[in-house]
Amino acid sequence: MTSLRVSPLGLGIGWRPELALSIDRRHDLGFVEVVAEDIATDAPLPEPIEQLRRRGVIVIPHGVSLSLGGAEPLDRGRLDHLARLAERVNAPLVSEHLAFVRAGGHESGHLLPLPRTREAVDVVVENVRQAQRVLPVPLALENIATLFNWPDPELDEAAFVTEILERTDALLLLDLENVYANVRNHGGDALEFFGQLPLDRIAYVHVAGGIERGGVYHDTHAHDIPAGVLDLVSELCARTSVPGIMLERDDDFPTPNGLNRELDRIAAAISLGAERRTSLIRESQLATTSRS
Amino acid sequence: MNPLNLTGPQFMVFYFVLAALVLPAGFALRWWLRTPATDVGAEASELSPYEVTYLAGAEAGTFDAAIARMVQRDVLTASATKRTLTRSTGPLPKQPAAVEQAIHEAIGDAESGVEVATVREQIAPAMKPLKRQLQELGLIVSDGDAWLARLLPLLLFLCVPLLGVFKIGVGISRGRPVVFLMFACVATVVIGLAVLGRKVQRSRRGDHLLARLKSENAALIVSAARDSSQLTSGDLLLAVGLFGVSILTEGPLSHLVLTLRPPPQASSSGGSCGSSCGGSGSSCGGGCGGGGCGGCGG
Repeated sequence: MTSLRVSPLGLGIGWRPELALSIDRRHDLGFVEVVAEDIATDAPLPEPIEQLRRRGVIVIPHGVSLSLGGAEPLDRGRLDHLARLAERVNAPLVSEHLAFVRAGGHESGHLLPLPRTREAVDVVVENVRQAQRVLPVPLALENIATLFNWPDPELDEAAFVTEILERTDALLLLDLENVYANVRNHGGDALEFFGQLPLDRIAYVHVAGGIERGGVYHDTHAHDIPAGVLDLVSELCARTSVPGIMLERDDDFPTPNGLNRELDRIAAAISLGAERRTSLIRESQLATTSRS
Repeated sequence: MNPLNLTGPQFMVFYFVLAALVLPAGFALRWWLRTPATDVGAEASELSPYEVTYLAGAEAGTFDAAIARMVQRDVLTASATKRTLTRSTGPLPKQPAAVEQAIHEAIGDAESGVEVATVREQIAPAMKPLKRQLQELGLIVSDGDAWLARLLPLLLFLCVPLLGVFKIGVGISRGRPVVFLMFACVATVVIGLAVLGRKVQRSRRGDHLLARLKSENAALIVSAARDSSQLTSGDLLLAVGLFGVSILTEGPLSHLVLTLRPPPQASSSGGSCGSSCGGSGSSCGGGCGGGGCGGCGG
């Protein structure tokens, strides 16, 4: 397994037309993620995205429909589109989900969880390898939030993700909101989850908001980021150097000020974690020095 | 070769070829006369928002942008069915823009509202300082040059139907049928007036600046076209001013599109919406739309 190859991305956001103006006016963004299926490759890129690129903002295509966990062969058209878009925007990497969205000719319209079995790992690994053969840049795989889990899992989520990453040499797009949602809905310990993941393979991190309804936490991307998710940002940044962290907002769009507040909260959580990490490193160095 | 001695069919071919050549020449002359053409100076880059709206859409565009801003601030209400404007509960800012002040005064306290067209006419004088300022900056063609840029190309083009009229005289004197040529002459005059008789507004310098402003505000139009409710009043003014009231088609101010959309015969000025934004924008795996679907998971 190779080591991390992603250059620092900094603070980022999912580019959406509704947020174009707010994003344009925020000058500390290092990258934006675009939904690959929303961008045509045979037409000019939306001008605001071109302008961001001219400013040096990195654009990362994010696929939502490859269905990497599907038992059927990958749709070559979708894969080619993702590859063309990556070249078009000169992306350092692309990302997709560890999920399936279609089966037997039916589109779910949603990211569906995979059974955490050895057989499913084999399927995902084969699909990811097929995608990697076509894609011109590294692929990062994202953990998803699940409202249910398939019965009789052979692996826990961390082992499932880690085995796929190790066998495919793919990068990790760690969605902290999804980690938070899964812990709230299914139990477990987020920090323990971090401890089991190959954190050096993190390409970037998703942060978003959600809401609890009827005793179930929903990852809506339409609400403010819960404090618990920001705590996870800090915890993660205290453990490892994260190349990039971005906000996802897909609905109920805030005002430019509201969006800035959310981004500032993420930036503050990153700083907090980074300071803790620096202190820990310093303490460790001091301890090593005093022992020697 | 004297074209007046050509046979009827030969002259018709000659006539249409000539018209097809002179029309672009008229365009080129009109473009060339829209001076100054030199690049924009620093002072022109610091236009006020209302100067920008006037540059983009002249009186009609500025009016539309002002109304949008005043309705957003609840200073006015607009009725799409009656095409009227009425004062609302919101106050004017302490130092309102002259255009907004004029609109507010033109509407007065009329409870049933005032027709949009009436308000448009009444506030025309309030636009004059904007025009003057832009003319001083060379962004709008001066009145004299504007007439010249309108008249000379038109006169050039009208030489074509004039030649047709001479040929009609020759044809009649020789007892030949001239009906087709008469129709052709009328059609040419109509096309000439419609295409080259339009009012001249911006100079080429103004065009350069406007193109730059539109490019710089590409993100504004993309966001405004999707969700104008999140725009500040300044951004809304600029968005409607630069790109036209049609960008408000989605959102709480959509009724303004019907209220303000001018009748076809008066639609010579004002901006147009040209969004080229990219898609629906959700990373939820399609069809999620956020809060109501049980979560994105992505």
